Amino acid sequence: MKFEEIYKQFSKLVFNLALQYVQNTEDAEEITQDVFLTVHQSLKLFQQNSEIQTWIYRIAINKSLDFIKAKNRKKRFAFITSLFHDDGNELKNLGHNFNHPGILLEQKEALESLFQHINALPDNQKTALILSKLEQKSQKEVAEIMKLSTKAVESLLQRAKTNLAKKINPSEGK
Amino acid sequence: MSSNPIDKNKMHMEDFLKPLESIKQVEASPYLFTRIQQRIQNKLDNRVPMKLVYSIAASFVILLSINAFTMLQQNHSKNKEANIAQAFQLIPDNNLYK
Repeated sequence: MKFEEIYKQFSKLVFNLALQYVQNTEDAEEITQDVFLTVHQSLKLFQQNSEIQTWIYRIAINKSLDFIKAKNRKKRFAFITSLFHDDGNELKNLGHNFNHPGILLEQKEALESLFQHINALPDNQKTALILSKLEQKSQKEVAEIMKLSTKAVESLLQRAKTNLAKKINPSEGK
Repeated sequence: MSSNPIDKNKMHMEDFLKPLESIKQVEASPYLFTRIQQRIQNKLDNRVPMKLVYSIAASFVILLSINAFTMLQQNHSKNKEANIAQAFQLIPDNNLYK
């Protein structure tokens, strides 16, 4: 399969998956670029053991999580530097900017708050939730993408929901 | 309807997650592919050619081998000189009064 064909077939999938992680168009575009750069580099090494879609899903998940970690690191660094130099601009630019083009305006507020809780979940719980609830993948497909058993995915989803319930309504989780 | 509090909690959570289903899939920017191609090109331009890497590595190996060979030769000739001096009972240095 040619690189251009792969891009045409999977760019929408990658961009939307990145959007679910970062909820911001610019960041999602940057992640999409990183994903296809990796796809281009590793296309020759790709073994047909798994489906190409599963492979691209894995790259997109890893790149999204790496991007979030790098951004958080930058934020921490900018905060420390701002203590010594009085320049809050950099810190402002690194702040979370909720700008998800797939969300209707009337639901923006509710979903922004929900995403805030989802973003606070551990990486594997967040990934399981995004794949099953936002990407509408079956537990078997989620298990294949995450290289886990279906039981493990079920447990991850359960824990994600319990953690969300605790965050949304602290008295409920007890 | 289930009266089990855990089931109720689950159902409540499912309701809470329901708005996620309303999120629509969107298209990526049409210029994104051009940007990706540009980044690929930049990477290719910045890549050091393997021929150059191999030739530098080869010249290092040759230089090291010449060094090692010269050192061995020097050692060997020193030993040879010492052997000759011993055989002819020559004084190996210029110090006459030992």
